Amino acid sequence: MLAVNAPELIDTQDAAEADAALVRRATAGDVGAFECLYRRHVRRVFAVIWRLVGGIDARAEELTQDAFVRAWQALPGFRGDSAFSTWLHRLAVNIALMDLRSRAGGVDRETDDSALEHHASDTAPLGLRLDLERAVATLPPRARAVLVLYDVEGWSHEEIALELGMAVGSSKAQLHRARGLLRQRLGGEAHG
Amino acid sequence: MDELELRRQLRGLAREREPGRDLWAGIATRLPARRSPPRWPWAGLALAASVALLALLFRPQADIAQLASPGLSRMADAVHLEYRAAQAQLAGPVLSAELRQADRALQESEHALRAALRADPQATYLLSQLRRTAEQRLRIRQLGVIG
Repeated sequence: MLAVNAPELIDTQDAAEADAALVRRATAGDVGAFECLYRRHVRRVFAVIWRLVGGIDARAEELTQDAFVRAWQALPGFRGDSAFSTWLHRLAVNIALMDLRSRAGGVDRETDDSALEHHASDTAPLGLRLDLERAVATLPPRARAVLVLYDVEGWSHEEIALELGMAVGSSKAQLHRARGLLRQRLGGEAHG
Repeated sequence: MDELELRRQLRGLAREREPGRDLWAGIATRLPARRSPPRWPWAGLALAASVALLALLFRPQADIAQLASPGLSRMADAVHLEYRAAQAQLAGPVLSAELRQADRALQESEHALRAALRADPQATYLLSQLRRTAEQRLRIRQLGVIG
């Protein structure tokens, strides 16, 4: 078992060490090193932002750029307590959530479970054959954020609650509702 | 689709996605140039104080009477008292190991500067360095208070 996992472990360690070396150079002002970090992580960063903003390509691209610019600015404060990839991922999520908050009808308008009741009434089958990605994109922003962070990214409810400024119980309720909405929409797909 | 199956499918969604275009050019033009402030802004002062201490050590004929000369050394004492009074107002912050180390270095510099002033009471530049050293020590205390 160890023999099977060992190469993967070594790859992960190598990747972390390569990141650490690039981070040191980028912190000292080496833009080329930062470009390497960008090339290594852009797909991961773009994926999470893209899902959080509901699959809107142009917005996700713009926010991905914002995230890397912000990372460059914040890099001197990065102390290496976590892996660079984890730190960057958190930063990217934060950028996307801030964008959702700043938009009318965004996250902050859905600060409690009653908001979900409104969306829950709007659960008629879409009639279109949606794949899972598209169904996730149709969720209300706050519920979508909780679902993406918990079910796709593997965050805990405590982490999500902290990031979204909500109670842990609300995060659980949002997740329950989001899954319910998804199942209904995907069920509609099966019969559509 | 039951919930377990939904969760399995969600967990299986791609964690990576290629943007539709290369975003680097738009990032590179927005990166501000790095300015690298010295990690220890007071290091220069500590070095200057060390130089002053060396100057003192290599003056074997230093007159004991001159060392006791009032002149600027009285003002140096005033600086020291000012620092003590200000420090007392900062309610004894707990300093991190890094700040403690810096504070110790500055304290040694302060002693060296005061000794150098006693040896050369006409060296006004030593007094201004002493004042700056005391200010740096206060700043460290403030950093400790801020946490």
